[in-house]
Amino acid sequence: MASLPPRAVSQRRPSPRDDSASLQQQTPARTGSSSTTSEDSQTVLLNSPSSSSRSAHNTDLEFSRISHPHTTDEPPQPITEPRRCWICFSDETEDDENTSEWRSPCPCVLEAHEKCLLDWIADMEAPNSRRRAGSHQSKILCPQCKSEIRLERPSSLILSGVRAIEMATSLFLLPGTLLTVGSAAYSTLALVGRAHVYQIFGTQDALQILGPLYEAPDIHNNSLGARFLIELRDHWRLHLGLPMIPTALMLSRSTFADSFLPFLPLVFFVGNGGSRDELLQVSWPPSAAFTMALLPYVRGMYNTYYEMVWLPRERRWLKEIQPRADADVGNDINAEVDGGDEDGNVVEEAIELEVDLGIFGDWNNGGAADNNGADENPPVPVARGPGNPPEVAPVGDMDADEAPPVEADNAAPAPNVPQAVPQAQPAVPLEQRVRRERNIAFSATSFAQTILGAVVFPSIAAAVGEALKLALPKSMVNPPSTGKPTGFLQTKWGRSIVGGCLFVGIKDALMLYVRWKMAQNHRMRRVLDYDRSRTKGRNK
Amino acid sequence: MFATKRLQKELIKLNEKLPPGITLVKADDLKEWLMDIQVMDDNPIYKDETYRLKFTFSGNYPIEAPEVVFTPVQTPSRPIPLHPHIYSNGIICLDMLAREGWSPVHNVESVCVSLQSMLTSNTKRERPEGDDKFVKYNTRRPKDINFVFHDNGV
Repeated sequence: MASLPPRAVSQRRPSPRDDSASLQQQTPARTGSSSTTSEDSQTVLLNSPSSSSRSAHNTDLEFSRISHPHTTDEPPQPITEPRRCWICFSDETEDDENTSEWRSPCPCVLEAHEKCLLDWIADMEAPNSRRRAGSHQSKILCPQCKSEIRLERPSSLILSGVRAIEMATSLFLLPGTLLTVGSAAYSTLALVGRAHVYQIFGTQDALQILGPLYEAPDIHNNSLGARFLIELRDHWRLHLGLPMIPTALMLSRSTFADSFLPFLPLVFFVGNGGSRDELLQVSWPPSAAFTMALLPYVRGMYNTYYEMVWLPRERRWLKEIQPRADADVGNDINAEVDGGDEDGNVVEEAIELEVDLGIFGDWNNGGAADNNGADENPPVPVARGPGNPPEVAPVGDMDADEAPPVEADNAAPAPNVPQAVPQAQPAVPLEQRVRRERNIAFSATSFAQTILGAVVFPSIAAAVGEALKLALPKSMVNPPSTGKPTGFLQTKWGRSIVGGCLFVGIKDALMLYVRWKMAQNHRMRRVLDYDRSRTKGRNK
Repeated sequence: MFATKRLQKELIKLNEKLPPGITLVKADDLKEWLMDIQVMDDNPIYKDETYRLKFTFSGNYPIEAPEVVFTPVQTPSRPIPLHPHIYSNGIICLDMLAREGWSPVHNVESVCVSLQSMLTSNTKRERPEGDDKFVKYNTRRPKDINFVFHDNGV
């Protein structure tokens, strides 16, 4: 206790000594000239008594400071070797007046200067970009015995408060992000679903279905929460169903959604308006709900038909256009080698053609999708297609889209992926690597394709439906001026569904024709001989 | 200042006595040292070979870990040892040399000894996964690389 006050002075030693020395010279003059004591002179006077005995006093202090650790911190057992700081590697004998005290913070033999320890701890606790108040969360462990090194530090309410807040915010980071992304996705999906309803059902019916969305909120009910709950109770089908439309459309493009019934969201709306009977007719023409409910079965039947009848032929045709894929194709080997480029071009052309339609290619009936696109698209062009640029299709520019259609295959868990491997020809490792790299690029593109296709398909169906309205005789497509429509095609949604089915059917037929024609042309290729007579004639 | 004093002390000790298989090649300044290490038992992968280590110290050593890499030398022959945690450009993936694994209790000698034992215990004649790419594209300093220390067996 006795050593405390002098130590406080000694810490201030460097600066006060100079100040007081210079001030001291002024003080006698001032006190001599006037009796008034300024603040300056007072402080000087306070310091001045110590200045008289300074030199002796200071040496005392230094001794006490150095001997201090020995007297207070020394462990009971005698030390044979001088202590060595495990951080700076200096030992006791090198201590001078600037060396900080020795600390032995853990049960093991490691001892260190307090300053060194604090430096080390500061490095471990250093504030970083995210936690500006630093963190004291992790325990500081002795690197040798792994026991905790304890610190005493002044506590600050604000500092620990900020730390707690930073901790809490970092805890909420992930849920918050998920919530934001999720609600953004929900809103987007709901908007797209709404657009789909408009396209398939036409403005009038769509307004009926979506009517509740446009109702003004009940102004008598001021509580936001209550309003929200009432809205949810009354129109939960809409709020759940709308985002489900595009979701189901996208899911149905892959095989694993086969078990889902992708028409489900539409049924929500159709079943919603109990009194709006023109949407709920049981007799002919069938009700919208009934038709939608049939779609998955129609789709399944169509897929089965396609797989049974057309898929084997398609595979055969595809095989034929491969370079020497089959011995029985009977292509002249020489011609094949020389014609490699030409062959490549043919494939490429076909791919471009296919891609023009390929985006919607996987679709069958309105709302429902088929997955036969995965089987129908060839695994082959991936293996060989020499000039497929793996670029991502610009959204909305279908005609310029050159992305290879095979992308969807590679990403989807389609059965043809294993097929592609044996077909990978005398594939040199290089080719395999290229393909693997492409696979990665493809997955992103195919993802975009899936989404784009899902979003665009209802528009296509509606457009084909409109075309039907123009093409067919008026008596078929215009409802009688009085009463309910008497025919399926007299409703907008009916035409849309038929239009969607037609589109898928025509598209599949066209693709099959393309495959067949490619196979045909492939057989008739030949390499032209160089016409020497013409060049000779020109030379003469 | 901090680093200087400690390195001087380490240097004195290194000049006095070194564990077998470890030699001090060059320590002209207190910034960069070269050490040679050999594997002392007869692990066939490293038998009869010597490897050159380059230590680079920052001003915050030993609070901060030194940068330790293998450097290839033509004469005398000092190759980069073949090890699943050593990239062919000499960068070493060892938790002790990273920020989290380092502590001031380590020193040049202990790092050398650790690397020796890391080599001795290895049985795989291979480079880390993705060595080509890493060597080709890495522009970061070793200590800025976030290695994932997953393999405790080696």
